[in-house]
Amino acid sequence: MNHDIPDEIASKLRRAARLEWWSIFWLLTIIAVMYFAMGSSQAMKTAWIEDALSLLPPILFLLARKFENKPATEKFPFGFHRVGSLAFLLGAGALTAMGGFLLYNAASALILQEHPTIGNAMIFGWDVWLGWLMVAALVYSVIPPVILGHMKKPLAHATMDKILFTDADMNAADWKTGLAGIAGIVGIGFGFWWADAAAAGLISFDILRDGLRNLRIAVAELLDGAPRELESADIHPIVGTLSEELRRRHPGHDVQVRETGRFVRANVVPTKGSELDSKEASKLVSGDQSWRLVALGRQLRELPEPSEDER
Amino acid sequence: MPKRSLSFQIVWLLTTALTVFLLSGCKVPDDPEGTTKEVIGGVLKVGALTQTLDDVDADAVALIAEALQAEPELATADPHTLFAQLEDGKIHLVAGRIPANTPFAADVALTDPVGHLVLGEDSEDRVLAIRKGENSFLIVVNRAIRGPME
Repeated sequence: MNHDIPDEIASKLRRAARLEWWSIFWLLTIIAVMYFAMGSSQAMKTAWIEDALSLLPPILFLLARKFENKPATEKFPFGFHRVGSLAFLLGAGALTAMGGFLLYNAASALILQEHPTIGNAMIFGWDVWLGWLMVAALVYSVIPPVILGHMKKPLAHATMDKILFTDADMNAADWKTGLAGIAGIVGIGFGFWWADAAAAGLISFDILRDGLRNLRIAVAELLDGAPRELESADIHPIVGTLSEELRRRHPGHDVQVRETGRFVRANVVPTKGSELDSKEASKLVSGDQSWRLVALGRQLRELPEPSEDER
Repeated sequence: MPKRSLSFQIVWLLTTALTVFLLSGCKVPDDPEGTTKEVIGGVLKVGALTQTLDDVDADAVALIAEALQAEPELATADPHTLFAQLEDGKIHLVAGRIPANTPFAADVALTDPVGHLVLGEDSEDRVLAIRKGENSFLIVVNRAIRGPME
């Protein structure tokens, strides 16, 4: 199933893969820095988990790239275009579960009125309140993702890559997490014990929202929904133009469009419905299995000319 | 840049408020329950887990009292009573052979080590316990006990 992807798209995908490798590298440094600065702050812990979770999309993207162009096999006759979407669904599930768990943690810290303790330590001969160290770690944790996110976004649009887009979007919004975390720590500094848990709640709410949005995108594709826009659940304009043109060439037919990964597939079906008559089906499949055959398709390589008496 | 969302506005508001605080020169970190202010120049209420505090714990308590110009007032009781009183802010400090890995660690804040302990076959850092989240007080205490450890 090696498609002729235009060179321009192929080179953008290669560039995106390079950026994702860089993302993984920077994220690992951030995860290490945050781990050592974490202490007992709930907001820091939540931000750290979010950083760890944001490793998922780059890894999924790179894995999907590996599988996507594999030729179809006997066991997978339609190829592997949807490997990314499947991975995306699993990642979205993880994100949602984690967001819910962290939100619960933050809420219970607020209800139980847990006062976060942050002490001081000697660092290079200086007596430093560890809160400032956490703020420094949070500032560092924001910079690479925001830059990389803004670099990845246009590539995601050009290649219609859902994982890449979600990744870029989450990265670009990472400064919110950082700022919320900083507000939490500085809040503790001023003696507002609740600032930490409130910030943690805000961050986990963000994780939960990302998870739910990604779930919606992944489910739409895996249920053979019409192709969607990258940044919303609206149907992509390609569906309208494609359907109209196909209806012109196949009078008396309807058009169904779906997507597999970044690719789009269209079916032309009789207006009366695409389902195979049970009598016809039994001609092909004998016995008790015939009820399972509901549709029969024929793929075209060349398009018929539009008929003169259209519509 | 996306539209300014609600979370953005909340975060922005918080940051601005905190920056104003920062510029107005407040003490950072502060105690949510004001332990330092309460103790300074007054009475340092210490809960002792042992009938008499041994030299290491007694010296640490003396240093802390001196740093806060406070009069130490010792009361001995069982661990659960003392830690409950500490959580409620009825006493300021618990001392008496507390290891750094004490099971009470989740409910209180522990200071830097004041010495060592040998419990069974393990050697542990010996610490003091203060009320959770009283970060200014924790720093005062840590600075006071740092001397003899060096």
